[in-house]
Amino acid sequence: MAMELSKDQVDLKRKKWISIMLLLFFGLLLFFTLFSNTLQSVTLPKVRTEEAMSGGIDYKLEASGILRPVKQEELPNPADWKVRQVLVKKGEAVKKGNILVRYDSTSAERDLEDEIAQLQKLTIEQEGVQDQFKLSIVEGDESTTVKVRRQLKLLNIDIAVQQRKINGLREQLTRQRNLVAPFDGLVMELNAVEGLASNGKPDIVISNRNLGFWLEILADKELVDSFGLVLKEPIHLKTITEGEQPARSLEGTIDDIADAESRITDLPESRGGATATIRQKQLRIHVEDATLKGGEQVSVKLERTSSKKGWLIPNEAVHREGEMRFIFKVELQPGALGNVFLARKIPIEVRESSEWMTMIPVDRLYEGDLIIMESSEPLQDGNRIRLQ
Amino acid sequence: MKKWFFLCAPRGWARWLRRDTAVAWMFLAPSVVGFAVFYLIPFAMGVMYSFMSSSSGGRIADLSNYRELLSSYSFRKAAYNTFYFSVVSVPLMLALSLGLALLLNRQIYFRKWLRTSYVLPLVVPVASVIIIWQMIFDWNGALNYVFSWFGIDRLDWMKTNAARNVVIAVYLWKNVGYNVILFLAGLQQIPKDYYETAQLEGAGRLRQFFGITLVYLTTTTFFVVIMSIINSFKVFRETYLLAGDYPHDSIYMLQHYMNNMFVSLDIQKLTAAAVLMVCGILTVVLGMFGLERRYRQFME
Amino acid sequence: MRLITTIHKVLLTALMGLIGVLLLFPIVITFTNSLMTEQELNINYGEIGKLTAATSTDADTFVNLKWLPDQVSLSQYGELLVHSPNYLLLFWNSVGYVVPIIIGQMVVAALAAYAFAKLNFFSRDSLFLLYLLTMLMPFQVTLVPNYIMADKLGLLNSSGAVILPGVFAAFGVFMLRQFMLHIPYAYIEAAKIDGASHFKIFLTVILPMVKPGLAALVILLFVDYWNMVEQPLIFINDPFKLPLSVFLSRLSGEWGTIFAASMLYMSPMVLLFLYAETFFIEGVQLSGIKG
Repeated sequence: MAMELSKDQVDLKRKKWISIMLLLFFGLLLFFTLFSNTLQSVTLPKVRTEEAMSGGIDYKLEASGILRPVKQEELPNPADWKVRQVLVKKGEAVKKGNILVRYDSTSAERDLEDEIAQLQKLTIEQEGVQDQFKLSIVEGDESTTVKVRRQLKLLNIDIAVQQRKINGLREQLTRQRNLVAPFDGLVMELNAVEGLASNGKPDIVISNRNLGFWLEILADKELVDSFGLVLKEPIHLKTITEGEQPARSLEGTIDDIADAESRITDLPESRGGATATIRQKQLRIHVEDATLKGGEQVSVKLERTSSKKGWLIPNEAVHREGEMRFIFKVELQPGALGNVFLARKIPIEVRESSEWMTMIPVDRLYEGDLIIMESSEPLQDGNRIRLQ
Repeated sequence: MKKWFFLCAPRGWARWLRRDTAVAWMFLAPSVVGFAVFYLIPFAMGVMYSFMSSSSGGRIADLSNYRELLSSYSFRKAAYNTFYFSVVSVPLMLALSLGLALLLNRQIYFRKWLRTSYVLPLVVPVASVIIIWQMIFDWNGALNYVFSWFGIDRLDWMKTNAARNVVIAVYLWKNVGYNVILFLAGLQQIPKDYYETAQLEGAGRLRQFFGITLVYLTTTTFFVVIMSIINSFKVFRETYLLAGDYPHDSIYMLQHYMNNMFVSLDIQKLTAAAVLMVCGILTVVLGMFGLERRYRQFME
Repeated sequence: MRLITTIHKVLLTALMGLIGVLLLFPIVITFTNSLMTEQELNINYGEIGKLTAATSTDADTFVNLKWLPDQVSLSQYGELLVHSPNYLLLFWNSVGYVVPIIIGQMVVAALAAYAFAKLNFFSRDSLFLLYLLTMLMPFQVTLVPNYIMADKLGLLNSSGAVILPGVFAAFGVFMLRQFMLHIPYAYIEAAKIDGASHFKIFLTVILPMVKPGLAALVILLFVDYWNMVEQPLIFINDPFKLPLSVFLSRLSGEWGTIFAASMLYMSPMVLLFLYAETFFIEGVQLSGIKG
C-alpha cells in the first residue's frame, strides 16, 4: 500500500513536470509569435529610401571662367630708353595713335645735335673749298681746278650722307620717344615705370577691343552631347556680380568645341576605390561687347529637360555589377504577422543620365515605389530590410 | 421541460415519451444533425452521383460509371494494391503486435517505459518524421548504406516494387503500439489460474498458448484485425507525403486514385470508386463480425 | 533457479529494449539532428533525392545518417523562431483547428453518447451502427460530396470546412459510449428517484464519472487532428490558413529548419501523450474491448 502511494507520488511529480514543460513550450512559442518580428527587425539591414519620381531628366551645365581677349599685343620699349612719362593707366581705353608712354630721349637728341654740328662743320668746309675752286678758275690753274672740283664733290657727298644721317636720327627720335597705341584697345598690362628703363617685360600689353573676348570652359562630353551644342550656337552668359556692379547678361556664340583631357572620378558606389574616366570637351565661347574690358568672371548656365519621360533615380541608388546595372526597391509583402519589407533587385537599362539622376524606363517601377538609396549592409535580392 | 411535453403531447404519446425517446433525441440532436450534414447526406449524394452518367448529363440511373471504372487500368491497379497491402500487412501486424504484447506481458524490467516507447510512434505526427523516412529509404539512404556493409546491392526503395515494403514498414512502425495496447488489455483479462490449472495438468507452453491465450484473445484479435484494416487505409497519408500524387505503381492506392480523380474533377468516377470501396470495407467488416459470432457460438 | 529467471528477464528486457529503440529511432534522430547546424546537415544529407538508380554510377555516396551532432547548436531553433514567422503562424493555425474540434466533439459526443449508452429509444442500435461504419471509412470516400456540401454552406477556404466535420465525427460518440456503458444503471436510477432530470443526471452523475474517458478522447483526438493533412489540403487554399502539418510536408530539403520544425511540431503531442499516457491507453483499450 505504501509502495503504491509513493508510486502515485512519483507519477504526480512527473505529471507536474510535464505540465510545466507544456506551459513553457506554448509560452515560448507565444512569445516568439508576438515578438519575432520585433526581434528580427533589430538584425535587419537598415535602409534609407526615396520615392521614385517620374518625369524627364534635367540636364544642367554650369561653368564659369574669365573672359580673355581674342587678340592682345605686347608693346615693348622700342629703344630701351628710360621711361619719362606714363600717360595711361591700366584698364584704360585708348584710341589708335594715342601716346601711351613717353621716353627719355636726351641722349639721342645729343647725338643728333652732334651730327648737326658735324654737318655744319662740313658745310663750312664746303664753303672753303668753293672759295678755292673760284680762286683756281680765276687763276686758271687747271690742275688745281680739277683737284678742287673733286674735293668739292667728295665733300658734297659727305654732306648728303650727314644730312641723311641726321634725318634718320630725327625720325628715330620722334618714333621712339613715344609709345603709341597701334589700334583701339584696352591697356591690359602696364609694366612701364617712370624713371626706369624696361625690365624685360613689355611695357604695355594692349588688347584689341574690336575682336571681342573668349571664354573657355570644360564640360563632360556626355553632357555637351545631350545639349546638342554646335559651332556658332548662341549661348547666354552672365557676368558674376562683383561689388556694386550688377550682374549683366551677355550673348556669345560657340567658337570652338574640342576634345579635352578626361577626368577621373570615384564611382558613387565605390568598393575598393573603383574609378571611372569621364571624357570631357572644351568649349570656347566668343563674346563681343563694347562694355567688356576683359578679365571679367562670367558664368554659363544651361538647363534642359529631356523629351523622353521615365523614372528618375538618383545616381547613388544605381548599382553596377559588371555591365549590369540595377537598383533595389522596397517590396511590401503581407506577411503572416504583419507586413514585411523586402529588398527587390530590379535590373535597369539606363535611358539617359546626368550627373545626379538616371532615367529608367517607365515599366520598371510603379507609382509610389520606394527606391533604396543607402543600406547599412550590402543587400541581396529578397533580403528583409528595415525602413529608416 | 419534461412537464411541458406532458402537457402538450396527446395521450397516446405519453407512454412513448416515458420511454426516453424524446429525451434521447434531444441529447442526440446536435450530433445527428451534424453527422447527417457532414457524413450521411454527403455519402448519399455520392452514391447518387455515382449512378449519374456524365455523358448524358441527366439523372439516368445506370451503371456506366462502374463499368468504366472497372475497365480502367489505374483503378484496378489501385484496388489491387490496396487489397494486396491489407492482405500482407494485416497478418504481419497481427503477428508482430501479438508477439510484442506477449513478451511485454512477461516478467521484464522497465515494462512501462517499453510500452511507452512502443506507443510513441502513434502520437508522432506523420509530417514531422517524413524527412527521416526519406533519409532512410533514399537511393543514397541509410538503409542502402547498411546493405552495403553486407555487400548487398542497393535498391531504389521508392521507385521499384520495394516501395511496398517501405509502406509496410512505415505502417508497422506507426500502428504496432496501438495493437500492442489492445492485446495487452486482452491478455490481462485472462485469469491467471487458468494457466496454473493447465500447468498442473501438465500442458506445455505451446499447448497453453494455443489452448488458453489464443482462445481468450479471439475477441480482441477480431477487433485488432478490423482496426488494422481500417488503419491500413490510413497509411495513405504517409505514402502521400513520402511519394506525392503519383508514387511508384506498386503503392498507388485507391486513395491516390480518388485524390487524383478529385483533382481532375472526375466526380462520377470518384464517387463510384468510393461506393465500391465502402462496399468492400462493409463486406470485410460485416464478414469479420459474422465470423466472430459464429466462432463464439462454436465455442459455446 | 532464481538466477536463471533473472538472466532470462534481463535478456528479454534487452530484446524488448532493442525493439523499442528501433521504434523510437526516427524520433530520436529528429531530435538530435535538430541540434545540428545547417552546414553539417547539408554535408550529411545533401545527397538525398539527387540520385536514382538510373543516374547513379558512383557506389560510395551515401547519406551520412548521424546520431549526434559534431557541434550542438540551437541555430535551427533560432532560425525558426526568429526568422520564420510563417512557421509560428501555422503552428497557431494547427492549434486553431485542433482545439475547436476537440472541444466541439467532446460536447456533441458526450451528449450523443449518453443517449446511446443509457437511454432507450427506437432505432438506437441501427443508428449507432451507422456511426460506427462511417468511423471506419477513409476520408476519400466522402471527399466530393463533402466538398460540395462545404461549398453550399459557404465554408470553402474557411477553417469551418475542416473544423465542423471534425466536430461531428463519430469517433467521440463511440468512445464515450464505451466509457458510459461501464457506469452501472443504479447511479442513474438513484438520481431519478431524487427527481433529477436526464440533463441533470448527465451533468452531475455521468460527466464526472467519464472524466478519464474525456481525457482519453482529448488525447486521441489531438493525435488524430494534429496529424491531419488531407482535409486542409482539399478545403483550404489560402496558404496562411493551412495547419503546420501540410506546411511541414513541403519543407523537405530546407535543412536550416526542418528538424527543428519537426521537433516543435511533435513536442506538444509527445508531451501531452506523456502527461496523459494512462488515459490514452485506457481509451484505446476500452474502445477495443467491446468493439
